[in-house]
Amino acid sequence: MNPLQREAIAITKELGDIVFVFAVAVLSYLGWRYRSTRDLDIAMASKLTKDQLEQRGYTIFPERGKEVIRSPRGYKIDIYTNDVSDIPIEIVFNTAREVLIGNDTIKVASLELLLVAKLRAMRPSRPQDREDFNKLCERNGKSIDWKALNEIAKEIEVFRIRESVMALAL
Amino acid sequence: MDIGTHVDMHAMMIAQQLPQKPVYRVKDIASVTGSLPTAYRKFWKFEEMGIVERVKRGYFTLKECAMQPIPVIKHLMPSLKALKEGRTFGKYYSETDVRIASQLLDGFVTLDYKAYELTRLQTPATLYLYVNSVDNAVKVLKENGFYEGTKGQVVLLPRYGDFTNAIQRMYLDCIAKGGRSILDAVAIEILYSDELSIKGRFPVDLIEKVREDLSLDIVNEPITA
Repeated sequence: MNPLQREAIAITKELGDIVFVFAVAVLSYLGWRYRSTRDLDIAMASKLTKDQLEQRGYTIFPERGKEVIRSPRGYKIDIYTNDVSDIPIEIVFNTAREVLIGNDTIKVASLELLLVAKLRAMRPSRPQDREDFNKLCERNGKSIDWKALNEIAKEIEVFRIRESVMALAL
Repeated sequence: MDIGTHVDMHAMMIAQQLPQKPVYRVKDIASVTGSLPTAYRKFWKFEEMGIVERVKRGYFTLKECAMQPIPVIKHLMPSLKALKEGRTFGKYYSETDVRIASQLLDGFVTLDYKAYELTRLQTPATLYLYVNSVDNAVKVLKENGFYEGTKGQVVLLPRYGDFTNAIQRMYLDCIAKGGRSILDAVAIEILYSDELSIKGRFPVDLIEKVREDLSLDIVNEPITA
């Protein structure tokens, strides 16, 4: 088991009903050996207060002018409570899929949601998003639920994803 | 060594005007050049320089390094050419391949594994290795049960250009490779700025993101090639 898998299991046990988006979700689709940084993004249905997080061993302190949350093991955590790339949090939860790691289960964003979020995040300052998006299209393009995608994506986004899958899917 | 590929200034200006998309077609270039024949000529130039990769059905992807300033792109040409000619191998198609290949071959490790050793920013996946003779290295790998293909975690690269400053070369390789390797390049620039005489241009928010990620106070598990 790699360190990020261990961390995802630990965070799920500590924080309860959460959905991993971005890094952990990408790894769950592309394989846990795929490259990743050590920051984690999670969606939560209801926001935990600073006290509640600290009771669970999380630390919150300012770093370079921003409030940064770290897990008890030092991983940086970004928490989304309203939306993920403009996709409402309810949809993130309703479409999430479960991933089994050993005897434990974590929840990750659906492939369709991840593709839309990556596409919306894509800009010169986020070169990882283009690579992740292209790899997801290449390796998982044939598993996309187009009906589910149509429900969360704009028409132009569905077109871009369809075009990318046509060009890249294995 | 003269690598025989030069930066076409006009082609680079065209590439820098393309909108950001996951995949492109030649008609996207034509929307900038105004004619399809010119677009094809520019596409062939892009391909020669190694800034695009052909995928399926007439589509191609454009590397982020196309957006670097021209003086930087000139220094990227040996890395781009080496990456374009890189040959990929696998045996078990797992991390084991990396361990076996690094025991069998000598060379200059670059990209994923070297970046991880230098920065601890991102976990590595593929062993990129510059070797003196690609043919000899291929022979060794094949004799040891490796297969050549498009998948695999061992990539052999021919040595083009200057290797006297290892960190500088690594940094340029990361920019040339693009995608997640750009994060490695930024991390190298933050940590080893004094070692670099040629520097790329990156968005401020990307530098800030990498700076934040580098400051993670956790014990990193050693991953060696």
